[in-house]
Amino acid sequence: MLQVHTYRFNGHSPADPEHERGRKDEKAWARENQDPIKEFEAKYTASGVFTEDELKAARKEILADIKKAVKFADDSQMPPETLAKELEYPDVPDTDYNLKQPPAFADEVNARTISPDQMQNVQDHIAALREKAIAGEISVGDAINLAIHEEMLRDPTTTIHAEDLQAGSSYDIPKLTQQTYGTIRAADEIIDEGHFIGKALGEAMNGYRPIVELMNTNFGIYGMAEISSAGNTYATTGGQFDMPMTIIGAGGTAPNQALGAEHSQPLHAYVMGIPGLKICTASSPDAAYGITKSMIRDNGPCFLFCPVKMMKESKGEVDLDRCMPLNKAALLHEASQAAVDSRNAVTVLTYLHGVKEAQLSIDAIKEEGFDIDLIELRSLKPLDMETIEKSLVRTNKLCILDESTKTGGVGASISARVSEELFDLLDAPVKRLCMDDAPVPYATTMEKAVVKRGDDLVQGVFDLCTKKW
Amino acid sequence: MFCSSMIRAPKSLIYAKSSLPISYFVSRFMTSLVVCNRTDGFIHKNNTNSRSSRHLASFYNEEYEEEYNTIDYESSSTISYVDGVEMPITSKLRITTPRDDIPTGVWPVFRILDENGCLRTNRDEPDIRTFSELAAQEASHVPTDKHSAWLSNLRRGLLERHPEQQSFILDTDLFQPSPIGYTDVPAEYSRNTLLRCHRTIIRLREMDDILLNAQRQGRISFYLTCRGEEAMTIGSASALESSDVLLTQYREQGLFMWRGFTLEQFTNQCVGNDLDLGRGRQMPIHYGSRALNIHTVSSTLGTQIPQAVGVAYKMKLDSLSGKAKQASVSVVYFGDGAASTGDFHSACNFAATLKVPVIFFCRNNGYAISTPIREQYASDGIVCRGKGYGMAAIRVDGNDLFAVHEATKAARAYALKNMEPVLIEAISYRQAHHSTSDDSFSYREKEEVEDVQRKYDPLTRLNVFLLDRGCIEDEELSAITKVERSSVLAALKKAESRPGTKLETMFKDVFHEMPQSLKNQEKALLEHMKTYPDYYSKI
Repeated sequence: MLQVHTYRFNGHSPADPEHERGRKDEKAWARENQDPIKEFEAKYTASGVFTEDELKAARKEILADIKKAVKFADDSQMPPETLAKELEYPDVPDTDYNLKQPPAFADEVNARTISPDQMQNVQDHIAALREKAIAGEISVGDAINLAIHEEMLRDPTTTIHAEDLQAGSSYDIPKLTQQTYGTIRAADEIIDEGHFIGKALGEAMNGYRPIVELMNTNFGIYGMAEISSAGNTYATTGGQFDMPMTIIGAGGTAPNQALGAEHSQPLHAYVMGIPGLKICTASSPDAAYGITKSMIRDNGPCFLFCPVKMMKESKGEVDLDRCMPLNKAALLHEASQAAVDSRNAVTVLTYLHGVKEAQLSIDAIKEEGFDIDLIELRSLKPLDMETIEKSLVRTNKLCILDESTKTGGVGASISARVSEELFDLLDAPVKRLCMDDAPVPYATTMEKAVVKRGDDLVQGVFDLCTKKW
Repeated sequence: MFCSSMIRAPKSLIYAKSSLPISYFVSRFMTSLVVCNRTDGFIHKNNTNSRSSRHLASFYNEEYEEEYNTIDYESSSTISYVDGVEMPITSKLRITTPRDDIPTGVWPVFRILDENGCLRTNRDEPDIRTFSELAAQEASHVPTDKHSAWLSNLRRGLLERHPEQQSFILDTDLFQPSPIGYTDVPAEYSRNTLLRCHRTIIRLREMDDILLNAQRQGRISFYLTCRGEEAMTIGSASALESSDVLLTQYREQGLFMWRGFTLEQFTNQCVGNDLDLGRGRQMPIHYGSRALNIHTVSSTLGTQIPQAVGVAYKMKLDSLSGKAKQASVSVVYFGDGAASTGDFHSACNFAATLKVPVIFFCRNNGYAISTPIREQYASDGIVCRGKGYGMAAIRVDGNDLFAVHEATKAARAYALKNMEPVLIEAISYRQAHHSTSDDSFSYREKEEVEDVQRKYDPLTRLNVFLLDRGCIEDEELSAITKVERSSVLAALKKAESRPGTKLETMFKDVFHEMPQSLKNQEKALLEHMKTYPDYYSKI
């Protein structure tokens, strides 16, 4: 650590004239006795290396250069309005990540850095997971692990960071990474989300593709400053620095999850407003796999949220080797034409645990004589208004099963946009089933009423179709 | 005479002997002892040939013949609880102030009580202060009642055996009658801090054991135990005043217990019933009690550290303005992992630059979930960071109740006298899994844990001391453990039989005065519940 002693001649900035600090004499002394330029000039004219005239001429030259630069800036045009939008993401929202080329040096670097034993081990591991995927038995956590291994082999500049990484973290997302890629590429982090997200930021700006796994996204609240920094990087550097960082975490609030207030906060709602982030959710192994692959290939900061209570239980098939788009919602269930025609269909938007809740309540809804277009909002930002619109054209009624709070949540943002852009398609106000503005309770008696579930959705659909609002 | 206790274990044996003059009052028979496996916390008597000790009330009157296994024991010069990291031991209680040079090499660990239950023989570092007044007082002390006689005898016996520990024996409040009477121990030792410490540790361990099993049985959703770390909480809490404010991480249930948090209060919170002080909002072990001056546990790791500085700042303001009725400190507890957070850094810097009376108590138990200390820091632990912030620091053996107690007392006095923070690093070992969501054998060897339990367990060490001094008998130990165990079971049963937290409390406490928006939400919720009485009344 180098500690360099110098002196500050002025206030902190022009906004800080320091009148009140009585440093006038001190500053005068400093300018007289601590000026490096003065010292340089005195020293090297005394020893005859330069003459005073030479130094004066140099000063003049420098001043002229600066004046020229200022004039150039003044005379230059202001940037075009469209630049802000262009600088939002390094890769446009509808990028097809399947078309991205892997680096040419991949095989050579892998051969050099991964021993034959390690390679055999990881290939076996990947093969086993792929078998599970084909059989429809792979879990969300394992699907992400599979995607991570495939991408880390495909591109050796991909790294991964997590707390307790070598022990597999909480859901086996980083399983076998340290054993295969080593402790530097697959780093076990000490406790400080701010620090290791910040560290990943540094890597990302210098040619690497870091994956950061937050055990539980609530812990990510600690790294808000760094997450903001990530989102701002591309634009604020004028597009000079990419930020290919992928943050993955298990979060959301499941019914009955019994984790108390501080493990149940909606970080996905908190980060929605940060510019430059692509934010997705995945509640099935298929989506988790496909989105993870795309996010790793994306050159900007991406954040994937998965449902904390479904990481190991949710099993399904995976469309292997396919990257999913990062700006598309998924229509999981279509209302029957009969329901649409009889005005008994509702568009339901949901994500994370809400997806399972909604799927499980479809039968109950149908029994009541209604039906739903169930749309999983895989991309929270950018939002897929096209898919929402397509469905609203049919149903004209919208219900959002939302795992955030009433104030400032995901549902609030969507509701506002739908009202602004698709108002004419609505026959009813947007119904938002979300958490109240109180800390999520732990005791079952209370939690039941706060975290909205399938039962609430059935009621919501009923209310919308029977004009109860 | 010999002081011996043989802690018999399959692979390693720790023997004790200290050589002393033959004539010597305090005595009891030493039974050879076997440290039990980890499901019990207490010691079984093994040697049927030994004579039992007399009851503690009368032992000081008699002289006993002794039978010992005489085996040599040298007070160890280093400890190594985790990872082969060896630290030298010192018997000298010394707070390294910001003005002092830090020790060269590895920072030594302050310890009073060795694993064999004997006070250290500090040949290398005798700390014999001339406590002539105190010593004279002691010699002339005439006990006024059975209890003070008991304590007086204990002191005298220890003095004769360990003259080098004179300052500790005469000075500590552990061997003096307590000014306040404890209500959660039998009447005959309601003023005995030493025995209350012992009993509380047993109660703590039983509570941990039972609630851990309750989680495994699905009766509560989560739990974490402090097994092996009890000396740190009980040792420090007993050295503080009730007006001192405590902030904790999550493994300090001992602090709550010492200050009087009842077994019912513990189980009410874990179960989340209508009597939970936290109103059913937090998952288990998130205890808090304003009445006991302990801030509520919060899940966010490390945030309690700067908050403690704020508390200390308030105390400083109060003392400057004359508002404080009594000088107090704030004490914040955290682990070796939490010491890596950014909050630790800023808190230390603030405390030192603002000069506030806060004690930073780091429980270095060797692990932060799966991260061992060798991956947590490259420095000589946490204590050496004190110097970097211009802060006083001391390193202490966290498995030694006496050392923790004395160090905390000294730190408190220092903090108040100088209006400065103090960093205490207590070296211990996390015998427990991180929590019920962790299987620590996936990243550490079972043998490592068993080894530490056998050799360095704080309760074992204290048991051996008390048995050796005749303060307690084996039968009493089992009896105490049984009583505490059934108290915990009764409390848990009672907690489970109560109704759940009332939903009407949910919107309280979000703001000081409920705003209209919340009132509306509350109204909508209650109406919704009224519409479906069957659905909600089920729970």
